[in-house]
Formats: sequence, C-alpha cells, structure tokens
Amino acid sequence: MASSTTGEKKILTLKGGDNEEFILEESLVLQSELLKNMVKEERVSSIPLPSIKSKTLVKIIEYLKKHAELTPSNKEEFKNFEKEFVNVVLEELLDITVAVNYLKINGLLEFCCQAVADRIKDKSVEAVRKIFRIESDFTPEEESEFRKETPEAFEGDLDDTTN
Amino acid sequence: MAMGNYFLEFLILMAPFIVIWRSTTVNKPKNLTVSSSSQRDVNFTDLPFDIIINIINRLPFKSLFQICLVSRSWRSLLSMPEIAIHINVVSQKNYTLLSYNDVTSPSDVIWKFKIPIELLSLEYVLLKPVNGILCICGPLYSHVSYVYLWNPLTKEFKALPRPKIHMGYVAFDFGFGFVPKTNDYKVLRIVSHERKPDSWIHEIYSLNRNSWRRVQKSCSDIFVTINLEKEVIIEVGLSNRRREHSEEITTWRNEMDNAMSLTYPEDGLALCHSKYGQQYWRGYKSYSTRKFAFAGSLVSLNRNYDSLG
Repeated sequence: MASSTTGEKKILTLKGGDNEEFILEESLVLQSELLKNMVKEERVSSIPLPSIKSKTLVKIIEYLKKHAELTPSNKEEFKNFEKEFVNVVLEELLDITVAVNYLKINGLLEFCCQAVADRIKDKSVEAVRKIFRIESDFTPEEESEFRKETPEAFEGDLDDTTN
Repeated sequence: MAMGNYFLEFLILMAPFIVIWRSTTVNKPKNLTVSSSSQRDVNFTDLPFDIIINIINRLPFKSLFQICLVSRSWRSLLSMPEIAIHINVVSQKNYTLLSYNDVTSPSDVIWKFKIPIELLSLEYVLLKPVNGILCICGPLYSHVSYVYLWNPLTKEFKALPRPKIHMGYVAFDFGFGFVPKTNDYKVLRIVSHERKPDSWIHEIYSLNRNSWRRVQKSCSDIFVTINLEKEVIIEVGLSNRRREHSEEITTWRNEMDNAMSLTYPEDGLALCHSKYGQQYWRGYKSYSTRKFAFAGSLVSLNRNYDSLG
C-alpha cells in the first residue's frame, strides 16, 4: 500500500558504506550512468554502494536534487550552489570526486575535477604542498637547487585557502 | 510476563558475548575503514588514473611544471606510463637553448641545465629538441655510440641501449624525431664504412620498442629522407624541396641545423629569452648550429615495456 501513495514515482534505496539508507525517487539517480544501467537492466529497488561514505552520498544526493530542479530561471542560484558545493575540505572534495567518477555522473565529474585543478592552478609550490598536506621529500640541496633554477615555480598565489 | 523475564535474563547473561560478537563482526570492518581513512582519506596521488588525467589536462603548463617540484610522488605521477601517455603538454612559450659557453650576457639566462653525464669526448652532439626532449649522441667517428634522451624539466634521463657495432663502420650522423600517431620518439644513427665511402647503414631506435632496428635497403647516399613511423627511406639525395610536414607521415632528413656540437668541458646548456643573440655561424666539423628553439615539455620518457608483446 505504501508504494501506491507515491503515485507513479518509483522509489529507490541507496545504501551507503556505513549501511545508512537513503530513499529517493528513481528519476533522480538516472543522472548517474552507473545507477541508470542498474535500474534499467535489473529493475532493482535497493542498491548497495559500500565504497561510498554516507557523508559523501548525502552531498551527491543534494546535488542531484538541485540539478533536477534546475530551470533557466534559477540558473544563477544553481551556479552559487555549485560553488558552495565544492567549497569543502580537500579530503571531502576528493572523496566526492572519486564517488562521482564511480557513479558516472559526468557533468558533476567535470565540475569536481575543475575544482581540484583550481586548487593547484596559480598556486606556488609551497601553497600546493599546504593545500594537499604534503611534506616535501626532496633533500634540502635539491630544494634549494629548484629555487635557484626555477624561481618562478615558487611564485604565484602563496595563499593556501581553498578558493 | 514470565517469558519476558526469561528473555531479559538471557539478554543480560549473553550481553558480554553479544558485545564481543558485535565487536568482532561489525566493528572490525568498520575499524579497518576508520584506520585507513584516519590518516588521510584519499590523496591526490591515490586517485584513479582517469581522474588524475582529467585534472592534469585542465592545468596550464606552469602548474604542471610545479607538480614536478611538489614531491617525489607527485613528480612520479607524470612519468607513470598509464598517465604519461595521455599528457603531452608542451609550453607555448619558445625559448632559445644554447651552450652556456655561448652566453654573452648572463642576465638573459632563464634556466641553466647541467648535463647529467660527463661527456669524455669532444665529439658529442645535441640534436634538435623535440617536444622539449633533448637527445645527446656521440662520439662521432667512433665504432661505439652512446645515446641519451633527457627531459630537463622532469629531469628524466635515459641511456638508450647500445646500438650494434658493425665492423669497420663509424658513427657519422644522428637524427631525432617524433611520431605523433604512436606517441613515439625515434633516434636515427647513420654509420659509414671507414674505407668504403659509399657504404652506409641507417639504424633507428624507437622509444616505444626500446631497441634499435636496421633500416632495410640502406642506400649508398648519406643524404636521405626517412619516414620515421615506418622506418623506411623514402627519398635519396640532397633535395632542396621541403616535404610537407603532415601528421600521418613524420619524416626526418639530413639538414645542417639538425645538431649542435657540445663543447668540452661542457658546463651546461642555457635557456634564454626567445630572441636571444644573433644567429651566427661557426663551422665545426659538419655542424654549425649553435642554438635551438626550445619549448619545455612534461613529456615522459617512461614506457610500459612489460605490456608490449
């Protein structure tokens, strides 16, 4: 009886890595090539996604919902949403990117890859190390050689904020 | 009610076991994921190759160059065969590459590259760079040849396998080219017989194959035009007509400006602003070029030889 109350809308359950369940309309997940094929071919109603953390899945579902509501009139609003969407700590952004790549949500994948690229672009070597929390494993001699050889690589935005 | 009490008692008695059972079956896999993610969930270098390629292809040349300086693992990304083959980024900016000995005003030098090996002979040559890759060959007029490929930006340096020694033949000329279709770099070695002036052997090294191969039907003329992809001579004799440089057929031909002689002791190559210095000629054996146009590149020399049949 429960299914009849939702009318023609099909309901799908996604199970995140920590067994948390997300119930959403099937039409939403069709943006994902992977899920689309699963739904179409196997007519499943529950899809386990053990490799994706629930936290990441929450973000992705949030995006799918916003994207489904996208109309020519709220384009600006969507752009702002996208900007905020990737304004997260690096680890989270990489988690989302990997998950989106796995789910094959192509538009969002391009957007996420650009967001990662933006954290490298126009940044100095030092800033990139800070953003990605990398310790240089070059010897002090090599390090000073680089600076002498190619000072411009160490120029650029020293700011390590994400934007 | 009585049933309920029994059940409660059972639960209390079993509680430690239930906890143990939970901790072994439920918590364990959870702990595993926690411990692997507590250090850092995913790092840039752990990303799947297609994502890394996608990101890297969005970056300007300067950022890619910086990636090489962030850490060893970041640098190694660009030389992994799976990634390197998709990245063929050459700086748009053209520089002038010349021997440091020829620099007249040191303030014009942007980068100075120290040649990573000691050249013990006078007669090594630097071939015209292709995609920012330098090829050093020599010595000339010797039975034994040493050839090196060098990308000064990624600092990759590769000593090529030694070409075969042909009794009585000495190295006379070298050439370097690129085949875009197969993303392959090729080195040509022309050897001549010491006493028979019309006897030449042409051999080509392919980076993808990592070996030398003799060009079939070598001819009795030193001036040739070679199809680098098919490794065959397509034209014999010195021709003034310049061949159309098409994507499908990459050719190499003997030209005066194919190589620069390296002077010894060589203390390095200097990269200067594009219009550095006047073109001047100084005859040295058959080579007179003293500088090359150079655009830096992040093309890796790494190839997956294991996967080749």
